[in-house]
Amino acid sequence: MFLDGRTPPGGAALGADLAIIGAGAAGITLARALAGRGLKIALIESGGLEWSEAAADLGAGSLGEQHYGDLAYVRLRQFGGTTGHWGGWCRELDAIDFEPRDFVPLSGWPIAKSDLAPFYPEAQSILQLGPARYDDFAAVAAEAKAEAPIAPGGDMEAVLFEFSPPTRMGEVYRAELEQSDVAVWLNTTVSDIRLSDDLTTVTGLVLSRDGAPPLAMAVRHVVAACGGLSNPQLLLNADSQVAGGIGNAHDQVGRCFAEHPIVETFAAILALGPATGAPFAFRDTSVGNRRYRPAFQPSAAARRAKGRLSTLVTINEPGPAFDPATGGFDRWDEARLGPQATGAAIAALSGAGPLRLHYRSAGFETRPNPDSRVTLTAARDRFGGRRIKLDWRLSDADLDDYLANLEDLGRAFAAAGTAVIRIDPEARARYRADTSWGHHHMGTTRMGDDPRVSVCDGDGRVHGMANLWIAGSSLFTTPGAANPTLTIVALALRLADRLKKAFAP
Amino acid sequence: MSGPTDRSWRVTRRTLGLSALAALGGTAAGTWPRWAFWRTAAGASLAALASLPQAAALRALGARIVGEGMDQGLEARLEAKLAPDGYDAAVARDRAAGRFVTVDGWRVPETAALAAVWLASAGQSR
Ligand SMILES: Cc1cc2nc3c(=O)[nH]c(=O)nc-3n(C[C@H](O)[C@H](O)[C@H](O)COP(=O)(O)OP(=O)(O)OC[C@H]3O[C@@H](n4cnc5c(N)ncnc54)[C@H](O)[C@@H]3O)c2cc1C
Repeated sequence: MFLDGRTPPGGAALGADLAIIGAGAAGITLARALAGRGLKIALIESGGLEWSEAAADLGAGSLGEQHYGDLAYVRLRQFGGTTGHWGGWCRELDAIDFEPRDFVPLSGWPIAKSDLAPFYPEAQSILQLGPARYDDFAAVAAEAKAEAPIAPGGDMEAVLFEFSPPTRMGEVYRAELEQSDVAVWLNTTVSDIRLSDDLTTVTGLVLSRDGAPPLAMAVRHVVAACGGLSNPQLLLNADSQVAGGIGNAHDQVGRCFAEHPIVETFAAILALGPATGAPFAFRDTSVGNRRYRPAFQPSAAARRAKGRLSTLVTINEPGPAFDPATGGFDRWDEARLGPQATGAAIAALSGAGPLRLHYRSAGFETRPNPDSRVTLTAARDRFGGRRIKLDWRLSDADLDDYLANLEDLGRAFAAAGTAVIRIDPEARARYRADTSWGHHHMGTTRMGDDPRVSVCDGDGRVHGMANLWIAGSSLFTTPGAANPTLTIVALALRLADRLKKAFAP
Repeated sequence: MSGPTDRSWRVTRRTLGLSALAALGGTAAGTWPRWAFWRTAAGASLAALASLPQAAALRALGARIVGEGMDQGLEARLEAKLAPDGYDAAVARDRAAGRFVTVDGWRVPETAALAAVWLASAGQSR
């Protein structure tokens, strides 16, 4: 059932067994998993069925020194959330991503990959993916009749992304939710969370809407599934009973904000000849009705041995082509590729056939940094909520790991004779100015066993709260290098399982 | 940022200048006069470099590297690399072992970089 918060049906006092705040990837997954069980579920969404400037404005905020997108537009406030324009890149996190690593301060999720593994297959199907084959590079390559571009078993390994269509959660699951017993509240923004006198239990939510006074909704359990920037905003703004906001006794809410820096222009790969693995090695490939993209990352063993973070290097757009007859490239881009004279010399040295440059892209893992954070400012939105400031901090140590991983990839390509790699010698100088991002907002209500350095426990429950849970990538203790949404959905399914137990008679 | 040529030189100096030359077995760059190359008699393996099919590309690459004078160790080091089976095998060994020099950001096998410098310098002197 869908209803508009601006004109809700009058009558009985509002109440829900479970209120899910935010109808994005996490919120819709939770609502679907718990529908049809006799629970009174309210899925409360700030936006409408379509995107609107008025809803987007509620996400506006300011930035610290590091440049980033306009906060009103780096996510979507509408039914379906940011899956309304996500790219569909999917890959599970690796087992090592969950582990404590002595070379990564604050690492170590309170859960292992084996805790999440039972939920990944259903997450695959929710995101309209096939059976997971992320680490099945050799088999998929064989089916695609392609060669592997690097030898297996080395420090760098070839792995896969799979593309979701991409699933627009708001479109794909709208009819199902309309027919379900879930009450979907559109155009309804949760602006405050009310607690019991002992401050350990959520008793109600304040629902703000345009053109009408706020409503109060009584609740038994609440899940905040507002995305990695709005989850901390909601908790920090809920300070009417607890100074500093809910779950923030140790000043942890909003800290350790992580993104996947994308430094597309920092390296180029010169693929040596059409026979050596292209197109599979360097472009998308379809096997059956599934679409994969190869990626290269340091193996878990190499990461441990070298004390390195992870990197996922993919080969994106094809760049200039080299013609041995003329000894030059058909076009050039000095900023990315350095002097054409050097490029042409390298190309001429590297092979006789026609060669093509490929620009590569990479998301890389970053270390949790408490100073990289979301805070509230004095500016207020039209419902009185304080807007956020995002102070994203990039660390040179993370970039160093990325560049070292690229060097290792260059060695692996060279040893296999498949490609030559260029790393911009100016990369370090350009890092802060030229870094883009994946629109992945992670870490701001991180899970952990120690409340002094985390906000939620391993189930996603806010430390010290009986019935307040978090869903989404704000839970990620460390970000890994893979895009987050598949893991967000798997975590939401795990939370649904946990809530089924909480509601069991 | 300055023009492309300036930038290239700066990059070359930074990437191949002192540290890479030192790594190639030399002393401080800039101390060895360029004429030393052509006054030194090249061995047979070095002479063979000029007739490699990729000699022109190597010279072009070398032109990106030379610019600050070169070190005395170059020829001995290059000859050691080329022994016993010549250029292609030496480059393959570098690739397999991950021995590279960075030129304008590109990874160049050490043997190729040394040969490039040698060819470019010798070429200028002829
Ligand atoms: C351009 C782009 C490309 C992307 N590509 C990829 C990709 O290829 N692969 C990948 O894995 N990820 C990708 N992402 C990230 C992906 O979209 C997110 O990880 C995912 O949507 C997060 O799900 P979520 O449910 O946590 O948050 P969201 O999907 O953002 O949903 C949160 C919902 O909460 C609502 N909300 C917020 N505050 C309140 C409030 N106070 N009251 C009520 N409702 C509220 C919002 O309106 C929104 O609908 C991309 C993102 C962008 C922007």
